Amino acid sequence: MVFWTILRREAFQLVRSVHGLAPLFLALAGAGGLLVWFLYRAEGTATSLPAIWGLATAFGLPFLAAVAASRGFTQDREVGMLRLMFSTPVRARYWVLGKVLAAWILCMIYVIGMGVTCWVLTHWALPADAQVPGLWLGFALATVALAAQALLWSGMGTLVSLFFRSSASTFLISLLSCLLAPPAFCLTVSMAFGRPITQWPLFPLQMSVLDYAGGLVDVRMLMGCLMGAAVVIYAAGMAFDALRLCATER
Amino acid sequence: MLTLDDATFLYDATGGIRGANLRVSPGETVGVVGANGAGKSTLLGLAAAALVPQSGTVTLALTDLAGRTRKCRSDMGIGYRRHVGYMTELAPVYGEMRVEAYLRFRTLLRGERILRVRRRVMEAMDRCGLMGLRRQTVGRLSLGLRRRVALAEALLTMPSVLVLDDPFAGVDAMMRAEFATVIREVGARAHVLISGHDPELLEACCTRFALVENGALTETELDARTARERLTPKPAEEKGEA
Repeated sequence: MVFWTILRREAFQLVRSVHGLAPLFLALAGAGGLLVWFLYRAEGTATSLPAIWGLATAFGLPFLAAVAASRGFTQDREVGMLRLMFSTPVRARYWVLGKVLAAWILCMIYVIGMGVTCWVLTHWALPADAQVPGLWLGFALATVALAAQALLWSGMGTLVSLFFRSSASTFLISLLSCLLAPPAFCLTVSMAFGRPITQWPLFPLQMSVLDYAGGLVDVRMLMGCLMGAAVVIYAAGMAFDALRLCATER
Repeated sequence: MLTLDDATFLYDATGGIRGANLRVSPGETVGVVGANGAGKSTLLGLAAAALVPQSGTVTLALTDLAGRTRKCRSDMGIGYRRHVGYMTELAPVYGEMRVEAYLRFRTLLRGERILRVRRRVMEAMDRCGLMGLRRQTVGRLSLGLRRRVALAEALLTMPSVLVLDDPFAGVDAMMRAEFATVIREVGARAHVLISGHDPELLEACCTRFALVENGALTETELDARTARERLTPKPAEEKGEA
């Protein structure tokens, strides 16, 4: 019950306020533009529509997740709510999960919004005789990949929001973490196992959405995102308890 | 019985509170007074379990109707926090919520049963004179009214430990008298700690005073007059003689 109470409050606070809606529409506009550009670029090729849609959506996702999650604990710290939260009989994991899932819900609204944009574009904007290859399964698999990535980004943003006092610095740090952490992880793996770094793309997670859209399910990416999200959420819970011990909210 | 046993919490070499020993019986209201930065809020934070003591313990012993005594420590689990009502110095509230919705949200967080939530919220609003403002957005209220919402929040589940950090700051005389009446009513059954700078303002609701000086709890059994004398700066010649 406590968890649902927190989640409902956090989700409504994000969806109803300008802090959630403005980034959502900005991300939709940016990714929509990217989608149109990709569609023009893909003209005459056999690139499937779910792949184009997935790639455009995947590039807007870290921005939105970083904005949505970065306000999490930073906002509570700004208004002095953190100390009150410490004395409330609620476990740290509920606070953290509530904030992470609220940011994740906003990200999924964005994914659905991009789906609607794509549907509108393909039905009204493209010529009637245009050939648009693609399968519903591709959309479904790409959505699964995007949902897993959104959870990881939201968790990372929430973790970062525990350590910074201003929303701006939290947003920048979480965005950089979202963009740089996967290539850094790939680089580490390459160095550890002696694989050439050129095997990895610059944005490995975004590019893996292409595979999903094509029906090629890469379990490593999915498990990596989910396990990464679990680790980040657990670390955020620990950090919340550590804040109570150190009282750095003062 | 609420017991602070050698409780220490230091932010750095100068800030915080060191080795605080205090016992508060049920029905007692202790006014914690001291200068700015003396460590009052830290002491109250320890009593409210918002801070975990770096050494020492904060314990609440409650006796039920069968005469069994149950002890909860502030640094172990959430059991202690279930009994705490806390109003912090800044009286923070979620500004975008309506008064009633905000209080309902806070009641649910305290783990209150769903069937009792409405009654608890109504009681707290009625006690703090917020019935007429229940549909108002909290962020649009004046500072004094927001403090009233924060007080109602602290009283929501009729806590055994009521910790009020500077509740009279920014509050007019009429509202102060109302606050004092409410605190006296609740304080008849609870362990109450109230902080402030002026013992005169706290006199209406406190049974005794504790004095915090330079990060240490130096006195715990003062009356209002003695506390005021201790807080009044001495003239320079008297200091010289001393």
